[in-house]
Amino acid sequence: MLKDKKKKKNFFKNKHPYLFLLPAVTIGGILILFPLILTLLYSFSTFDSTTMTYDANRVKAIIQQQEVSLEFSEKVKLIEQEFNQYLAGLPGKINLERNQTVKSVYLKKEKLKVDQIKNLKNEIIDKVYLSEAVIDKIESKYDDDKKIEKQKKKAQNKFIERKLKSFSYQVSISERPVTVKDEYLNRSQTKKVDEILKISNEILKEINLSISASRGSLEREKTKKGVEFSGIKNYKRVISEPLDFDNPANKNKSFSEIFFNSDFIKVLIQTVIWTIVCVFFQFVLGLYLAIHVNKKVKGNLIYRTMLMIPWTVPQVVAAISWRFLYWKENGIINETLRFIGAGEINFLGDSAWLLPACIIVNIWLGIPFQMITLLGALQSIDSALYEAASIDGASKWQQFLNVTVPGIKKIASVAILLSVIWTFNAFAIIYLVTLGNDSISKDILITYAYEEFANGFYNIASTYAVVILFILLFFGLFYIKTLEKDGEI
Amino acid sequence: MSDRLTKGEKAHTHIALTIFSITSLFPILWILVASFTPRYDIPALSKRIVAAVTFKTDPSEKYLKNIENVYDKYKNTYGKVLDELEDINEKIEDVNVKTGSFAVIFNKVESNMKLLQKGLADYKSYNIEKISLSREINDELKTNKDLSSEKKKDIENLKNSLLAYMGTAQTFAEPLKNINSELDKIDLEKFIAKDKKTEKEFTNTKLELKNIEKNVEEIVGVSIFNNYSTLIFETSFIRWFLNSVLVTVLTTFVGLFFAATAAFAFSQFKFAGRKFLLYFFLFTQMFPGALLIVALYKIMNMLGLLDSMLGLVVAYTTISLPFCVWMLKSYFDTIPVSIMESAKIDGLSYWGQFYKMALPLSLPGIAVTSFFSFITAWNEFLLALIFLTSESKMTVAVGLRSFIGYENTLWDVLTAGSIVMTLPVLLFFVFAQRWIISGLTSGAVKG
Repeated sequence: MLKDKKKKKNFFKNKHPYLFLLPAVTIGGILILFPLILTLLYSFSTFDSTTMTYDANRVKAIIQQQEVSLEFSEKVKLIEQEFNQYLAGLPGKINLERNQTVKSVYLKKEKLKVDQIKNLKNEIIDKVYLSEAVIDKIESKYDDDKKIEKQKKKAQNKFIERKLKSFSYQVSISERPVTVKDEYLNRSQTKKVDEILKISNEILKEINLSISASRGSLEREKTKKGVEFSGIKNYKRVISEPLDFDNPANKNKSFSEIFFNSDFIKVLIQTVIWTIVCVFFQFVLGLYLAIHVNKKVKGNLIYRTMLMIPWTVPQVVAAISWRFLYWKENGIINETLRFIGAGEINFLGDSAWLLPACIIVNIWLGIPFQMITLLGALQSIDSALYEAASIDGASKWQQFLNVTVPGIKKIASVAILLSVIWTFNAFAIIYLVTLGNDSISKDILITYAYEEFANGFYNIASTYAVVILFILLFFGLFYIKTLEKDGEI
Repeated sequence: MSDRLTKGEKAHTHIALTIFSITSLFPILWILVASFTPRYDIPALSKRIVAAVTFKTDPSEKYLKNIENVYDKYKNTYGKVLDELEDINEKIEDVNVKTGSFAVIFNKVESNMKLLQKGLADYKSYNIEKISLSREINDELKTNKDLSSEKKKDIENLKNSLLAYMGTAQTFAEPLKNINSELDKIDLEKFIAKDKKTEKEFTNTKLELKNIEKNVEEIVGVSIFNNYSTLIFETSFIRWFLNSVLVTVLTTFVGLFFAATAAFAFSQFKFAGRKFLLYFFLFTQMFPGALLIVALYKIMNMLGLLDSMLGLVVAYTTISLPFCVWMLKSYFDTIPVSIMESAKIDGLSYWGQFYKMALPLSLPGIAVTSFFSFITAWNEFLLALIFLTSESKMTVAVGLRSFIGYENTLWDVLTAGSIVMTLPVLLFFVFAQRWIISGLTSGAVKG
C-alpha cells in the first residue's frame, strides 16, 4: 500500500485527474452541492407556495398597467360627467330652442363627444389591453386558473368591443349630413340622438367598470411579496408546532412545555423507534440466516437465492404486496386472524398500527442486504480458527463469541451504519404503505418534510431537510471514522 | 462454523431456512396468485386459501351452496354467449359499415346488448355481497345453531337476484346464435354505405360488443391472463414501462461513464483537492434525494427539465453517482500499479489506460455498479412522483401508485403491474447473481 502511494506521487500536479473528474464534479455540483446550499438558504426564507409564483417583471408590468388605466379612467370620468350633463339638459333644450343653428350645434357637439370616445376607445384598446396582454403572457406561465380568468376577461373585452362597434355604427349614421328643413328636430332624429347618448353612456360605464375591476385584482397582485429573509423563524416554527411561541395564548407556557409537545419531537421519537427497531431486526435475522446459509447443507444455494428475492423487489411493489396482505376486509392476515378467532386488525386505518405495519415491511425488505454482507464476512473467516477452537474444547457459543464476532466486526459495523442511514431516509415504504392515511403517527422526519413540501410550505420542508442533514452528518462522521480505521481512505 | 454437522443441527438449519424462505417469498407469490385471479374473485381469494390450507369447510358454505349452484348452472350458458359473441366480433372486425339486412340484424344485437349489459353490471356486486353475507352467517353460527329467518331470507334474496341476472344469459344465447347464423349468410364486405351516421353507430356497437365480450369472459373466467390484458390494453402501462426502460438504460450508461471516470481519477492520481472531493462524495451518498426535493424542484424548473425523461435521467445519475464512484474506486484500487506503469511505458495515454486497462480489469465491479444504477433508476419513486405530472411521461413506479385509490384500489391491474415491474429486476438478478453477490460481499461494504 505504501509503495503504491509513493509511485502514485509521480502523477501529482498534472491536469489529467481534473479532466477525468470533470463530468462527475459538474453534475454533482449542479445537482448536489447547489441544492444543498439552496436548501440551507430556503430554510431562512419565506419561500412557500404563495411566494413561489412571485415574479418581479410581472409586478413591474402590473404597476405600469395600473398607471395607464388610472390615466384613462380619469379621462373617461371627465367625459362621462360632461355627457351626463349634456344628457340631462338635452330634451329640455331641444324643446326650448327651436332653431336650426341650435340643433346643428347640438348635433356637432354630440359628434365631438362621440369622436372623443372613439379616440379614447382606440387608445384604451391600444394601451391598456396591450399591457394586459403582456401580463397575460407572464401569467400563463404560472397556472391554468389564470387561463380561465383570462378567457373571462377576453369575453368582457369582446362585449365592450361589440358595444363600441355598434356605437361607431350609430356614429356613422349620425355623421350623414343632416338636411333638416324643419327647424325642429323631428321625432326620429330626437330618438336617434337619445339613442346615441344612451349607448355612449353605457360604453363609458363599461370601460370604467372594467378598469376599476382590473385595478382591484391588480392591487391584490401587487401586495404579493417576493421571497424574503426570515431569520430563524422557520426553525422556531418547526420546534414549536402545533403550539406557537409567538402566539399570545401560549405566553405563560414554558419553553419545554411547548417544545416537548411539538410535532417535531413526536416525529423524531418515531424516527428513532423506526430506525432502531428496523435495523436491529434486520441485523439479527440477517446474521441468523447468514450463519445458516453458510453451513454446508444440501440446497443452501437455493435457499440463498430465495432469501435474496425481497432485495430485488422494488419498494413500490413491496409496499403494494404488503398492502394487499394488510387489506382490512379481505387480506390474508385478517382472514387468518378471523379464522383463529382473534378478531381483525385495521392495519392501515388504526393509527397505532401504522408504524408497526411499515416496520414489518422494511425489515422484510432489509434482511437480504444484511444477510449477504454478513455471509461475505463469515466466509472470509479462516476455518482453521474454528478447528483450533474446537480442539481447545470451546463450545459452539464460545466459538461464536470468540471467533465469529471478532471476524465479522469490521464489516458488520459498516453494514449496520449503512443500514441505519438508509432506514433513517426510507421514504417510499412509509408513503406507499400508508397512502390515504394522513395521521401523523406514522411519520418519520423525511415523510413529514415531504408532507410540508406537498402542502406548499417549502421553507418548512427545507428547514426539516437541514435538521435531518445535521443528524446525518453526525452519522457520517462515525461512518468515516470506521472507514478510516479500516484503512479505506 | 465447523464442517461436521450433527443431524439435529442440519434439521434446525433446514427448518429455519425453509421458514424464512417462505416468508420472504410469500408476499410476492401472493400477488402473483392474485394477478392471475379474475377481478371479482380477488376479494374471496384469502378466504379460499385459508379454507384450503386448514382443510376446514366454511360453515356458511352449507347455506350458500344453492347460490353456487345457480352460478355453476348458468356459467355454461354464459360460455355459450361468449362463444357467439366472439364469433360475431370476429366477423364484424373488418367491416366498416352496415346496410340493408345487416342493419336489421344489428338492431337485434343492440336491443339484446342493453339487457346483457344490465345483467353484467348486477353481476359485479354479486361476489362482494356473497363474501359479506358468508361472514355474517359465520358470525351468527358462532352463537346460534341454526340461522335466523332474517339471514335465510337474505340468502334467498341473493339467490334470486343471482338467478335473475345469470338467467339473462339464457335469453341471449339463442338470439345471438341466430344473429350469428344470419351473419354467415351475408357477405359483409358487399355492404358499403356512404352514410356517416350509420358508420358511426356501427363502430360504437362494435366497441360495445367487444366490451361485453370481455365482461362475459370475466364471469366465465376464461383467461387467467385477464388482468394482464386489462393492464396492457386499458391502461397506459405499456407507455410507463417503455418510459421506465428508457430512463433506466440511459441512467445506467450515463451513470457508469460519470462514475468510472471519477473513480479512475481518485484511484490512479494524487492531486490537490482529492481528499475533499472523496469526502464530498462519501457524505452525499448519505443524503437521499428526498432531502433536496425543494431545491431540486426549483433547479429543474429553471432548467426546464420538469416533466421530462431527460430531467429524471440527470437526477438519477446524480443520486447513484456517489455510491458508484466509491464502488468502482475500490475495484480500480485493486489493479496493481505495475500494470499501469508498464502500460504507460508502452505509450498508452491516460484515456487508453482508462478504457483499455482499468475497465476490462474490473468487470465484476462494473457489473455491480450498473446493477446498482439499474435498480436505483427502476425503483426510484419520490423524484418521479414530484417531477412528472403528465400521465404519458410517468414511470412504472409512479404509474402503479395511481391505481391505489383512497376508496377503491384496482387490485387486478395493480397486482399484474407489480409482477411486470418486478420481472426485469428479478431476471437481471438471476442472471448476474454470481457477479453481483461476489461484488457486493467484497465491495459494497467498503463504499
